[in-house]
Amino acid sequence: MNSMLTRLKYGSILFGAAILCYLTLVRPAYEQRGRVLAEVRTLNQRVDQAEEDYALRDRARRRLGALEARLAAETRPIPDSGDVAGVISGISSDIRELELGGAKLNRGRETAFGSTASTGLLVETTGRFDLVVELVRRIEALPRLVRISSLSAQNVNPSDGEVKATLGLDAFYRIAAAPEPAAPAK
Amino acid sequence: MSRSINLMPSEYRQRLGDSRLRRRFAGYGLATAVVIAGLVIHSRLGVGRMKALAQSLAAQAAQLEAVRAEGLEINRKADAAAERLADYYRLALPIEISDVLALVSHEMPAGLYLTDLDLNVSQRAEATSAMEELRQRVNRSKGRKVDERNLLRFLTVTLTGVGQDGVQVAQFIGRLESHAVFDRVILDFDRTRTIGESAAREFRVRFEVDLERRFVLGEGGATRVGEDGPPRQRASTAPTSDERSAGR
Repeated sequence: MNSMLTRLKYGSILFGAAILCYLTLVRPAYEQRGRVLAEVRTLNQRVDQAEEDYALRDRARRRLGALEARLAAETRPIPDSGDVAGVISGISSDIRELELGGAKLNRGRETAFGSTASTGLLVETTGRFDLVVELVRRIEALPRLVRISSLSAQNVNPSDGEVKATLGLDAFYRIAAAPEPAAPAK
Repeated sequence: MSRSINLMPSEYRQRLGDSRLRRRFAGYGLATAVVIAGLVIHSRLGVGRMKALAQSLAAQAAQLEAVRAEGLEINRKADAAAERLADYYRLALPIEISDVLALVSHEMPAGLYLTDLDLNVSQRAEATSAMEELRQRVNRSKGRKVDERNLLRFLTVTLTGVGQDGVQVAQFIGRLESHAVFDRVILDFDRTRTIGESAAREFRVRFEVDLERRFVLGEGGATRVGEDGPPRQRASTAPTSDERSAGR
């Protein structure tokens, strides 16, 4: 009986010590190993996506390059001020240069489109149709965005091919954003 | 028949038994300690190497994150550029008026000339059915406000001119109808008219150019390349023949 109790005592001590060692030494060591392995696995997966990241950057670069090229090639600047006088002066000078007659330039109404506004212009002139087309080309080639919104040409003298032309233009410019309304004093 | 005789005192025998038991349990303890030490060593085997690998991979991943962030930043800039281009084309025309005139001129048969032309940029709500289009027309004619949610811009062109005969006028209309840039070609009238001493065919034709499209203009004509993205990509304009245009 006495021997049985002694065996039980030694067994319990040994078992307790083994459990203690497992909990304090073995399990934390395996947990750390697992953490490092998981980290390596995650990082490996991330690194495996390298090609996708480089491809994304290359695609974005190509897209930006193409869009910037289009902006440079296709768009004309929209100035910060209306400067309608400048546009009228330019068109008048073109009309004189092309020797078109009966020129009348009238300022139309202002229209706003978000952060952009336009001033309408009505140009009336007479002359050969090819010269009117040349005037249209010169207006389209102005160093700012001027849209030809309408054009009408009537043959007034069939013998010499003279036409009376009326062009409706919109000269665009940017408008400053309206300041935020001041908050009411509390 | 044998019988074992044990003359060892029971007290001494008890101590001997205890000592044997302690030795046995000491052995068990040692074995357990060896197993635990083995497990600890196994768990730490290669961890240092894996940590170094993890550090190297982390550096690569950080570099990739920088590449990804750069890509996203470039994409953001590209989105802004696309928006600027779209904003621009909400104001500007995807095809220049002079290009439209050049295309019309290019399609005119020799001998046919124009007496009047009229081009107007306008807009209308996108109609999803014929009934809706009719309703919009009625609203416009009655001066009612049209739904501005899906307004589409288009250029209306009206040409009045004179041809040598009906065949020539029909040829002109056919060319306009088959041209990729021109839509809804409608002949308003085609009638005989005496000019001087000879008879000629006077006509009036209307058509539209869809300004929500994108155009590529090249030698000898233009093609419409769809409606995705901001419109227009100009090459060079079609050859002009102003001598065949209005007033000639």
